[in-house]
Amino acid sequence: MKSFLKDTLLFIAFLLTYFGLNYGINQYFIQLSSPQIEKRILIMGDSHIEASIDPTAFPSAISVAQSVEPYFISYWKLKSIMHKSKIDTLILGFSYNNLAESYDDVLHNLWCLEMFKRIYPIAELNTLKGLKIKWKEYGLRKFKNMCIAPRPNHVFYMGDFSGLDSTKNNLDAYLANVSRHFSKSDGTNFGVSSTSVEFLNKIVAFCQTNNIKLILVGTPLHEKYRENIPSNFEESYAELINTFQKKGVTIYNYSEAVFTDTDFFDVDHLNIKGAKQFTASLIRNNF
Amino acid sequence: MLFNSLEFALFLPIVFALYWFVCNKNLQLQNTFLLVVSYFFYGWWDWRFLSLIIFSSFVDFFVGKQLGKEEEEGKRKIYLWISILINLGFLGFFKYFNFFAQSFADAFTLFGMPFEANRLNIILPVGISFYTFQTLSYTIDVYKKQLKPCNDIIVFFAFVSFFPQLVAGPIERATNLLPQFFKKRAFDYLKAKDGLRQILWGLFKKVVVADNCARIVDVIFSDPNAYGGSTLFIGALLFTFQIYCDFSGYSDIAIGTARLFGFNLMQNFAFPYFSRDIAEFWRRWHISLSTWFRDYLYIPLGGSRGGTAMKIRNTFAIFLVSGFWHGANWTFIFWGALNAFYFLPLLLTNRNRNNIGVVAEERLLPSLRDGINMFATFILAVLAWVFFRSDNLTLAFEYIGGIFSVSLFSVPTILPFLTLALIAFLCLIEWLGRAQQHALEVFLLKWPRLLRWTFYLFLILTVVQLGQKEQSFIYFQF
Repeated sequence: MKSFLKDTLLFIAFLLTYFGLNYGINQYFIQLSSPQIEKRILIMGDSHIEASIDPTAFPSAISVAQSVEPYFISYWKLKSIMHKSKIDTLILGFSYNNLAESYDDVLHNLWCLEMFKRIYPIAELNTLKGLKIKWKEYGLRKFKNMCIAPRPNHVFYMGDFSGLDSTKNNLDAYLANVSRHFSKSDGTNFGVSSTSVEFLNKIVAFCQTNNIKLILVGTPLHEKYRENIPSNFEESYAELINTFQKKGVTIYNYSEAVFTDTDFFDVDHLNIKGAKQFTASLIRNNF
Repeated sequence: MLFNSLEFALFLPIVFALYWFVCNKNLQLQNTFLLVVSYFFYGWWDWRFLSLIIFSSFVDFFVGKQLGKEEEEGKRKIYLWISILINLGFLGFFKYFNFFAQSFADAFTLFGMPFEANRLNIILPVGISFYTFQTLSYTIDVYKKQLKPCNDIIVFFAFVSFFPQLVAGPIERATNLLPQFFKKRAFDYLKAKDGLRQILWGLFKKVVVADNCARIVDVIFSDPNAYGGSTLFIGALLFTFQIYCDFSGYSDIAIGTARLFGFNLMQNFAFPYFSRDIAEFWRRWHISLSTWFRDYLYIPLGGSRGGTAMKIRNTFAIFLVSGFWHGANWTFIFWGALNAFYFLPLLLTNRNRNNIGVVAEERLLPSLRDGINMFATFILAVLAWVFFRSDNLTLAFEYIGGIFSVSLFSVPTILPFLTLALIAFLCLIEWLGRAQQHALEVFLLKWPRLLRWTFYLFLILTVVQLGQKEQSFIYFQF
């Protein structure tokens, strides 16, 4: 038994050395490859922003927006980006769905594997209180990406502007889009996510500390979508606008701006034609 | 609890440590401990079905004791039938009720008397086909006086539920496994190390090869009409390796795990895809089930003695029952019948035992003749697996028809290079180890330790990196 244990422990030490070496190398690569942005304006948010604001229309802007991005990930991203970047303006998505509790589930539902792939180099999961997290899947993803082999690229959390096809129009399935954001599987409505509000406050504080002008932008929504947003949610949204405005945050709410059906990809995303138009309008009126 | 899960990776070392360091002084304590952890292992899936195993164990323990005491043949037969009816009754209810109900309804409908079959929402208890056959073998052996009845209830219950092989075999014979519970088990360094190697190879087969094949197989078999012959052939080929690596991978992990605890389980797969004819294939595929049917069905029916008609009847009986054992679907029955058709010419011409030993023994490569025979046998197996995998017979025939079309010679629309490379690697290692109990038994043993460990590290890395989400084993459904 002694020989067996000795051999087994030696082999485990051999494995741990290999994994540890890779971890160290990859940690170095993470630091080396943390994003350095040479633009003045940073555009962040979820798919609403990703599809709606074209950074090339600005004199100096970059979009890192990604679909299904809750504020806690935006906050981690922002911190990571600011290590090596000098940004003076942050445009952050501020639609109704950004505040919904549905985003609290992304580390537990079908999105979790995609989320873990993005966030493992920047995640501070211990700061998330009360959220359900698939720890096993997260651990496995991090282990695979950090311990198996050296990987020069670990940055999967930087999105981009993605103009959506203007020849397709998916307005009929509007109820599915609304319920995805605001309805639980049992038919009741999601409330406002305290985690999202908490991390939005953290972003506000971070921007104030780092002298970044924060602009919250509510992107255009089709009336079919707007009309079906639960009323309690609209009230909470309005209250939050007041609260953040009092804190000195600039908010441009375009959710009720008039866009035609041909400007939408679906009821809550502009297509590329709508995005160009919206970006131009945003710049014309506010920059 | 799946062998390829994190839970099992924690469970195994804890149980190993407690077994050898806490319970090692007392055999009774070791056996009790094995029983408890086996129930825990099984209950991890669904604790409600533990009651079935416990009940089956009680029945066979009681019947075994009665058979030991009773001398009168008539009463002994009654006890035997009690065990058979209860065990097969459970199996029949949980596994075959809906099949029979639907088949009767279909038959009546066919004759113009349509009626709706009452289907029940039955969950198939994991491993029921395996432990049922294991307990039945005990009762039959005791009845035949080939085995003394077990008087230690803990040992008997541990024998029925021994966790490494409880869920998907090997289906152990009481004559092999039961006596091992009565012997004091001393830790064997070489055996344990070999067990770990076998576990590693089993994990590679299951997690890397089988699960990667499964992703592609599922796509192709879900809509076979969408693909040309060459892609359908790729699908059938990948399923051939999926089913082998899934099931033999499980057996490797089971046997390796049992070795860590000082037990020897029977070899369940002996490199069947290197067989030179179908008879050899069936001596090398799912050996514990094949020999079970041979000993408890084929031989009692008369085996290969008697006239041609009897040989044909017995051959069909064993293959059809074997097919039906795999599942309540006509596809499995047809798969069994097809194998009987493959096998019969060999039996009737007395060539079914032509290829007994290891192919190309002590040579690196097979002779041309062996190579051609291996290839032909393999292709027959590939075609038969199409029936095993298809949802129904119509789809299976369409699939086979699709393969044998002009498009067989076109470039496949799905050509998974990585999976095919993994299969090539698997075949190479298995070929080199084909004379052993498992592929890694002596492989690289003479190499310097660092190189050998690097190879094991490579296997572990592929398991972690190429492994899919924890997938259940195919044979759990049987």
